[in-house]
Amino acid sequence: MNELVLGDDLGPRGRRRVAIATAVSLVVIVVAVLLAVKRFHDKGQLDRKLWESIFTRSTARFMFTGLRNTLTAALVAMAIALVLGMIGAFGRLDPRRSVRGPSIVLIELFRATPLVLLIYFAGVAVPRYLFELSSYWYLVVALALYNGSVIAEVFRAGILALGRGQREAALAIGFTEGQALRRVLFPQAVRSMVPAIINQLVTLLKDSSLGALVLVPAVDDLLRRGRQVGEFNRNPLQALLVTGVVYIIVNFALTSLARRLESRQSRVERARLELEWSQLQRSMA
Amino acid sequence: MSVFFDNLDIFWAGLRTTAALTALSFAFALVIGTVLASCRVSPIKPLRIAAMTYVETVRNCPLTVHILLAFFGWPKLGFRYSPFVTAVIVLSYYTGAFVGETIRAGMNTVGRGQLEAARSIGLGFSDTLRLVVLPQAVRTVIAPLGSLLSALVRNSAIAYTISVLDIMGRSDRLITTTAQPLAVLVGAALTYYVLTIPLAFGINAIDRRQRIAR
Repeated sequence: MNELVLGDDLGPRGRRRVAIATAVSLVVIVVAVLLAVKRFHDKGQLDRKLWESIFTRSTARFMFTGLRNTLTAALVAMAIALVLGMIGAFGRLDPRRSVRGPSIVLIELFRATPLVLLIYFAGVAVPRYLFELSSYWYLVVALALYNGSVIAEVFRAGILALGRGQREAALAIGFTEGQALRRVLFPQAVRSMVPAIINQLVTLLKDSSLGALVLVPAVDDLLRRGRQVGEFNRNPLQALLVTGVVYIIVNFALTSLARRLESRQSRVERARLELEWSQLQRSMA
Repeated sequence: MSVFFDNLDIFWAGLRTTAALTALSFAFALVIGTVLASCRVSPIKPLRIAAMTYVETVRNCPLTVHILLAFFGWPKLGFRYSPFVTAVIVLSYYTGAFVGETIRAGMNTVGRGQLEAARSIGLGFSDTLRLVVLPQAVRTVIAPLGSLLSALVRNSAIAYTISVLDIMGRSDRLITTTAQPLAVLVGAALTYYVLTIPLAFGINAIDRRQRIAR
């Protein structure tokens, strides 16, 4: 939605006003950027030495291993979360109260808990009651449980956004409720929710960096390694900025993919899903 | 669980800090988000691009990186604030990016027909925005904004890593003094639920009302 949708095409006066505002805003933005660069310069943070140490071959390799660990942790957690999410969505849509009730409680409980707390908890509870594992797995367990509950809601939103005709048609041709859910509604929901799932993967990927902050010993991921580079070379500002940029590049690629898939959907479908989804998206750490 | 009940005052103090952290950050985030959304639908191209760049960079970078950058990086640039203020600033500009996207999504759900109808009865740009688009957009956006607030409550727990004494921070200390991590963490979760569960119910209630109305 932009001005062309909101009003008629601009007349000469409107166009002049927009041109002036464009010029003014451009100047303001350029000045702001210059001030920021000047600040870096004045404080000696543009010093070559501070940046060079990050862009050596060995540092790059060091960071790359961290990125790989981040990606595997995120993907493994996502795979488990998808399975949990499917079970959760079926449970929550089950006509039987005895199944639906516990599903709702579990999903809501995990979603209402801060992920920081859940990861901390996994780090304490898993070794005590289950097995001693590495921090990596405590992180994966916490991420999978939390995102499983989110994915369950994503699937549910996808199913609800389908409209009731699909379910009614399935029942009319003799499917049971369960069959209708599994064979008719769920496959369509997954298809329409693929962009939302990719977006959730981005959230999960960002959240995975909590493992480097909350767990002891820290998970050896991109953030941990970025911090180590900063400590070793005494340039935390530069090292963390570069780390952030790596995260941004990876996540931007994923969000672009999600957006491309989304653009294949019709406008109405998109708006409907976006609304359902935005109401459910509560995770962003 | 006696650890929890014996230390209720500590959890209460943490709850107050978390509530303050969240409330302040959300207020600023709403302002930032509204500005961003306005920029993104404005006819002025540099503002559109600037807002988009802001949203993409802030949103795609983990909150952990933002908070560490603020805590370890900003002092190098001469910006020194207390941990609490640092956390408020970071949570504000981070959540602001999400608020901006949510408001924009709300504007997009207003049907094209509404805009055409407004135009055909002679409303201009600002009247259309003020009388037709925003009232409808705000209504569709209240529930998602509530979700963002709930997410912010939970995200604010990250502030404990820079030694803010919120629920998580105080629990972390209590674990060191009592050596009963599980009980303390369950207590911390319960304390968070005091904030997040009523919020979830509120959001659902608003959501249901709005659905019937449409």
